[in-house]
Amino acid sequence: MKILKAVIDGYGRLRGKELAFSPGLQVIIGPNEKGKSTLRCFISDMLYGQKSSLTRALYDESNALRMPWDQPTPYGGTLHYVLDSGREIAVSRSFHPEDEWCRVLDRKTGRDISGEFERSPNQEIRFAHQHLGLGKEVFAGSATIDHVNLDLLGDRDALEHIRDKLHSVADSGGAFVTAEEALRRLDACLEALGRPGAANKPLPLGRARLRELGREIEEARALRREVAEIGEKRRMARQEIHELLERRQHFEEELRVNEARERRERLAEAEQTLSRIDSATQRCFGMGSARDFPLERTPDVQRAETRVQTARLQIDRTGSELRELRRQLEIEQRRAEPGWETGINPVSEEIESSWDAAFTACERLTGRRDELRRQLDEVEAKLESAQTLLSGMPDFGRLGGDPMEWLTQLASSFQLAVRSRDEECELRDRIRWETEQREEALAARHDLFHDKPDFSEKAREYELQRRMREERMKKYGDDALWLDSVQEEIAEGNPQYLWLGLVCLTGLCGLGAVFHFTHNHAVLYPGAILGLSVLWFLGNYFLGRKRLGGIHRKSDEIRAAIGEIDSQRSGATDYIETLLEQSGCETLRELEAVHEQYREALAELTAHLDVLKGQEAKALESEERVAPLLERVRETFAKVGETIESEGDVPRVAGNTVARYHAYREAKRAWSESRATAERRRLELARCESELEGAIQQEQRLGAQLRESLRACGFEEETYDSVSAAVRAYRDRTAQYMELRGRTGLMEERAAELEQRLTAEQTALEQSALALELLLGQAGVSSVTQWHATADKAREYRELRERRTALEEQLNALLRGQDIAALRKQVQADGELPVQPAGSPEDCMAELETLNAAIACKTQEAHALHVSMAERAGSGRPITEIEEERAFLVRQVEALEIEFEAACHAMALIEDIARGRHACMAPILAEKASRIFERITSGAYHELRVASDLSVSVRVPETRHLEAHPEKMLSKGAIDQIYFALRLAMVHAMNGAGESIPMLLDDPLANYDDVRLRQTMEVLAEAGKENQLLLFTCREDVVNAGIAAGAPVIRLD
Amino acid sequence: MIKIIHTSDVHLDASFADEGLPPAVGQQRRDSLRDVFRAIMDRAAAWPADAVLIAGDLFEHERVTRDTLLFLRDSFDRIAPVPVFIAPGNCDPYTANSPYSTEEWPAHVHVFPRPEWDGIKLDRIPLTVYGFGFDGPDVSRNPFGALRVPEDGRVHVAVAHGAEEGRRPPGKRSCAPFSAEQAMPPELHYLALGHYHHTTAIRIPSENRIYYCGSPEPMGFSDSGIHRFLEVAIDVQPGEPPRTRVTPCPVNRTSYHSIALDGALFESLDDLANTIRQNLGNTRTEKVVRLTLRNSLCASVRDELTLLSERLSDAAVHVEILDETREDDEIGEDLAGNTSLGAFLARLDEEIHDAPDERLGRMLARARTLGLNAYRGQEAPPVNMGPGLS
Repeated sequence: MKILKAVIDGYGRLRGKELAFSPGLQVIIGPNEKGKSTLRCFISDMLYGQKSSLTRALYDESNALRMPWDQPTPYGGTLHYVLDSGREIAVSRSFHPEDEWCRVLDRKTGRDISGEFERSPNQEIRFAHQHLGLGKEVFAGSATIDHVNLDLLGDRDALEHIRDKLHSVADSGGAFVTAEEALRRLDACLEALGRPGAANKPLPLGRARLRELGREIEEARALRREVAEIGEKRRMARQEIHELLERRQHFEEELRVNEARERRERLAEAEQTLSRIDSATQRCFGMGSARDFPLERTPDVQRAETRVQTARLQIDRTGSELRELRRQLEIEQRRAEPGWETGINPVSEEIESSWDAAFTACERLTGRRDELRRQLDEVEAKLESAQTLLSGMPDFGRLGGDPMEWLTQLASSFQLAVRSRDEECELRDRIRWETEQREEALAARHDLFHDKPDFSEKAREYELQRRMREERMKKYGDDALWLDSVQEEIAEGNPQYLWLGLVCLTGLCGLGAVFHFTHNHAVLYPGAILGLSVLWFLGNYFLGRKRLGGIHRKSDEIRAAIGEIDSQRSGATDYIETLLEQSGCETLRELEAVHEQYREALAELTAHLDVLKGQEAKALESEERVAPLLERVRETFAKVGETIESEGDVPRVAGNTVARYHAYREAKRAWSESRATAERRRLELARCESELEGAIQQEQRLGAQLRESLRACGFEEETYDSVSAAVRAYRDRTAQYMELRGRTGLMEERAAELEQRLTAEQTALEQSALALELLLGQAGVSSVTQWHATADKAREYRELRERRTALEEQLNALLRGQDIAALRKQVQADGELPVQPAGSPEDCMAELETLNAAIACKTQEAHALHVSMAERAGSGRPITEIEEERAFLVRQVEALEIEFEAACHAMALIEDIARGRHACMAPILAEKASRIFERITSGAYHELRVASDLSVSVRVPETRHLEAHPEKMLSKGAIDQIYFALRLAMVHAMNGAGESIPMLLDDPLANYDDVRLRQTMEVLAEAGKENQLLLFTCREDVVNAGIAAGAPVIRLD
Repeated sequence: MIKIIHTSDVHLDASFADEGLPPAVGQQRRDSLRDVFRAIMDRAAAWPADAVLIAGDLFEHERVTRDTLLFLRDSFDRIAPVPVFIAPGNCDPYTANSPYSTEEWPAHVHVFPRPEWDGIKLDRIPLTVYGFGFDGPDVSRNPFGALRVPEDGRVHVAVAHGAEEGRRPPGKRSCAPFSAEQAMPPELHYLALGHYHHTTAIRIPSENRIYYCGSPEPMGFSDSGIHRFLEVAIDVQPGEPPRTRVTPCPVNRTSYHSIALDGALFESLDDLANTIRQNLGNTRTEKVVRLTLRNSLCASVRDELTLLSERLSDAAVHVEILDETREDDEIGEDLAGNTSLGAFLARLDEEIHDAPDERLGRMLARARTLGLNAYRGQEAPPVNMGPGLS
């Protein structure tokens, strides 16, 4: 497609403007804010309209900016374009919201062809879609190269950004993201859905829940089956209950018959019992006197009689015991020595206990004193031993402060200094060795270049002279070749002229002879011709000879000039050639590389020498620091008796000293502790001895008081040597006296007790006899024997009465709460009884009991089954609910699975397609972009390589390598040009499928210098033969370059 | 005059899994079934009816819970001593493990256990009720046409479950099929039928009444409209032809609505919600909506589509969305040019065209949408995962 003309009736800032475009490259210039961007938007809107949706009339907010600025109508215009097929189209549009229309005309026929195209749901005519095969976004993305895109490239990882841009254009026409980004998004989508095994993601969760629900449904069905089985059992139980109830009814009827029969029998028995009751009543009446005898008091009488007899026996027993006791007391009293009852008086308890306390204190203090003396002896032995040990050790105290810390620090400092010195010296030696190595390596080149500081200038001069000489030599060579060819030509032609001249001359001579002999004038004509021929051939011969001479001269001159050029050897030439010879290099470039290496090595060597110097100073300084430190160490350790011969002794001596110091400190500590302990023990001993003395005095004083007391109490204490012996004897005597008194006291108490008991027993006897008499009196009898006789009679009366009562009870039992008349009536009501039933009443009752038990059991079983059924039925979720959840979940999971499969499928397709397209596109891009880039850079760069993933690398002349990250070697301009070359190549690559796309270039040449700008314009002019290129710019130099390339210029101002 | 309540197809404890209802809404619907049945029983007590005829499918045999059986017993107890006659249907057949046989029912409830006509004379009123029950999901022998009714001056009514072939709705399963003309003896005053879920009166030349009362609650989107039970009044005077008056009583508390809309007409979710509200009308039933969206849908509405149910919570208990709209993509294969995206769209369009089944077609269409959105750098329109998985 080529845009021919844009007629802008009103669009943004542009109004009433008509712009004609040529098919190839053209430059559209205008200062800022003159409508360049507006024009680009106009073209895009004219082709595709302004709606942002295909299905409805939605507009982007940015469209508001496209309204004509001065007046709302007209808002639109006309765009003329020609397709590659040659068909010319004119599109007219009005964008005004209230009068929006679009018309497409065939310019050749003038026919409205709007109807030939499909319409989108938003009623837009899809002519541009059909003509270009692109949507609006893709057209804008792939056809536009603007400066913003270039700026965005930046200068870090520029080729990576270029690759991304290429991907974007190749994958989505630059309208959207790349296939890689799309894959990342789809991958995120898969991640969000949940891959197999992922936790807490919808799809695995849904599947797991479905499995759970499946299990739950199976369980619920099993439960229903179980409940149904229980229900069936319950139904059977209820049926059995029903049968049992029927059987019970049968037995109940039998029982009723049995009851009637039993009732009849009962009535007969009741009447018989009634007559026996009457008989018993009559006999009772005859024994009325014994009716009120207190027969129930008979046990009381028997108990009273027994009590009287028992009291008498007890009185006899107590009296004999009392007599025996009195006899024993007399014997005991007789056994005691005379006057025993006048024993010694007790000593005051206070005095006795005070003496006891004093005596005990004396004992305790004596023991403590002995213990302290023993401990003191031990401590003094230890102290002596520690003093002996200390006397054999050096006095570390002379070192002052903490000797250990001091000695350790000193030894460490010294060792540190020695290690530092060794390291510095080692480093110095290494640097020195490296420097020597470098000097050796540099020596050969140093010989070459050390006296040639002007090598670079000479090299440039040599190169210049070489190029000039080569150019001149080439020129002279060409001249010489030309002269040689001319010389050859002449040398070939001249002998022919001579021979022809001589032949003609011979003929002329012959004709002259004929004329001379014949005077025939007719021969003059051929003679004249032959003469002219002779003149022509000989003239040419001599002219050739003359030219040969000139050529010889010229050749000589050229040779001379070449000789002169050869001889013109400047100083630079000798200089460089000598160096080439000496260095063994074949070309100046190699020599320059060698010189560059030499310079770098020299710079490195100089730097190394500086480092070496510094290191030597450091090593010297560290060496000087070691000697005074060693002296100081020697002096210090000499104080503790250690001798240091050499540096190596220091660690050993320091170790020894530390060990000795630890032993010294331990001995010192033991000595101090022993001394303090001995002092403490001495003080304690003195205190103990003083306390013991006081206690002895106290004990003696209290002993004297106790003796006096003993004497005063009647104890002969004088017979005892010591107070303690006297006290022991006193205590033995007192104990014997107390025991005797206790024993007789007890016997007296027992005798008194027996006397009291005897008195009480006599009183009880009297009371019992009195009570017996009272009982007999109450019954109206005089003796116990008479009581018993009367009681037998009364007992017989009572038996008769009881028998009657039993008969009455029997009657009541037979009547069962009824009166006998009612029973008679009931029996009469029973009427005739059927024949004897199958079972006896007992059997019936037993059957009924069995049946009742069975019914109860079955009822219980049915109830248990009912409860079980209710429990089982209520134990799980209703199956309906589970089914609904599962059905709902199945739909959800299916939707998710489709989503998952769709994302996987889309990923696979995108990856496959993008990879294939990139791989196909890469060689085309590489080939075309390399050509364009080479032309733009005038051959400075000649190779761009595009890998199958569209990653770009460029061959850098300096390194001759393909560089994927040439940002440090290439200017931003060069990187811009790489991008530009690739983008143009991409246009070609994308053209392949259909209509050529008009390219809208928005000032992409900002970073170009004049030469490359000119070259680029030529490239664009050539590209314009295939695609129309509208280059928008605000720079005059671009315009000039465009004009130079033959591009027409459209000025928007 | 004999007054009868006729209902059927209550389907207590029915599962609404096939209707796509979430469990919570399903439970709500089951509660509605109970409420409606309770309302019918209350009406039977209040009218008062002389008998209640339940023409099958009272509950779902495979799913009925003990709680529902207790509910039924309680409901029957409430209307005692009004006799209740139940003719088990294909969903609640009288089998060995059927609750009809395993449970104890009140004395005034009579269940016809066998697939043969059985008549029960009521002592209190001159009414004889005939009926038969299914003995399995398919009745073992079809007793229609075998009913013999004496001419004894009593009112004779029959209750049964079966499919009158002449009025069978499309797609409705046929069970115990019969034709009205041969099934109705001339002495029978009223034949109460169950199986069809819409109230259907069957006219035959003998002027007797044959009615399907329909289900009192709709069971799915195929049961749209009003649902009823029937009040039947039969007046038989000696020497006069019987007069039977049948009054349909609307009772449903839920209504199902299938709404199809052109998605392209809506600019926002509120527009869509308001249109649905207008479609639903002002009836007081709880509404279950199946919304089918066609044509296209703008991105803003599509993004918020999952919120529609919430937005309509005041008008509908559940909204199921069937999104049949095309993705509103503006990049077709013909618009993406000679790019990877263009090739991707071309390949997928071809695959979609050749897709052998609907599911694969859906998957491929979704792959197209996902891929296109990934290229656009946009989030794909969300897939409706529902509660619990999102």
